[in-house]
Amino acid sequence: MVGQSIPASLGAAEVIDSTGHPHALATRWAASDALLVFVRHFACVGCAEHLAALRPRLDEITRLGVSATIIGSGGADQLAAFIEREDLASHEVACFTDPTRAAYRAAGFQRSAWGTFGPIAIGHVVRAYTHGFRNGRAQGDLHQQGGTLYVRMDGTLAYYHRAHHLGDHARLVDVVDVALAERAQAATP
Amino acid sequence: MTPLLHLANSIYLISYAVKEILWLRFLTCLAGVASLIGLLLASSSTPRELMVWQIVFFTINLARLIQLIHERRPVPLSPDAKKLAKLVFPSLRPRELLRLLEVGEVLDHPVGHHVIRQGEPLTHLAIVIDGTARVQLADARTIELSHGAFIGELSYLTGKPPAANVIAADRLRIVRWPTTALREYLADAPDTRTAMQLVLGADLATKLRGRA
Repeated sequence: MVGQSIPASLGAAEVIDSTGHPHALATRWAASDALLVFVRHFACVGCAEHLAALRPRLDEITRLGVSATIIGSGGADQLAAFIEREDLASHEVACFTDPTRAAYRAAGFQRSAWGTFGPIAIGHVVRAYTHGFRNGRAQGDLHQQGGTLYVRMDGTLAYYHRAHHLGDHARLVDVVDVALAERAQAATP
Repeated sequence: MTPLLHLANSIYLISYAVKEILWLRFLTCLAGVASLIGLLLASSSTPRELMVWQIVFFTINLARLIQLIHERRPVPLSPDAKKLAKLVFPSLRPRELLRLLEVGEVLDHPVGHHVIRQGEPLTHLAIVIDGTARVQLADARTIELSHGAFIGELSYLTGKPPAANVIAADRLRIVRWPTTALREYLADAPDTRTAMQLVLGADLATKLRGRA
């Protein structure tokens, strides 16, 4: 998929913000490259751990001129609570939810009970708990797995990570490397 | 001897309340010594297996304690390393910076020396320590790079040959890393890789703003 145009259905997929307003996902890469992080659901312990690693690097990513977006699968009210709980309002990151999971499907992300309750997932839950993260009641689709995309302004894909289980996150150093390479290309005389 | 065993267990108890790993290792070593002496003096009926396990625990803790002390010793930085620590890598610990510098080399170039030639594959990523480097763009514009600035970073990031010549505008002192060796090193040093990404990103953001 990397290097190819993203599916039209992904660009056309509508996500909603915390006030309930719909947005076509394609607007995220209309004016700049976009980093899209799909979390499992808003109370997922593995996603909280992922965000704790991502949060300190959000400003670095947006400073490069990349728009950062986090997408979950719960309701708009759950999204608002998620933004507050994860302290995302103080960062330049747009947060949406995709209750129909149309964007998840268009992105090719998995839906798997094994990925949520399998031994590897349980291992990740234990690890996240030992690091102080906590799970809540599912706020979105419990079996939906996440993923990460880097979409260039022209709609082609520069990075793709599909999570196979809870705790399977894109390595941030790899994502930032892609952002640096893409933006260096733009800065090359 | 029972009092020594009580002392050892009291120290173990204190060690459970300590958060700092160095103190925790120190206390467990201390408790290990007290415990071993206590067991030796207790009676000849002390099971040998118990003694062997105590020695194993003590040896592991002692080795970790020595390692921690070694890692935390202050490291002297050269004047070049101090400049780089202050200007470019403030987030790196001195030992991490030294390891990074060991992958590269510090070089002095006379005025007019070609640091990078346009169109030739990039072999090194460099940072100016002292002096000035001049970037000669294809449209005849020039950009001056002074201390703390990267040389060759766009090619390093994109993997494409440099689009400009870079020459020493005056006596130039740089640190440079072979690109392959640097990538290999950074792959195994995530904290240093993050620090390098941070400074490369800041440098790149400045360039992108200049082009906007």
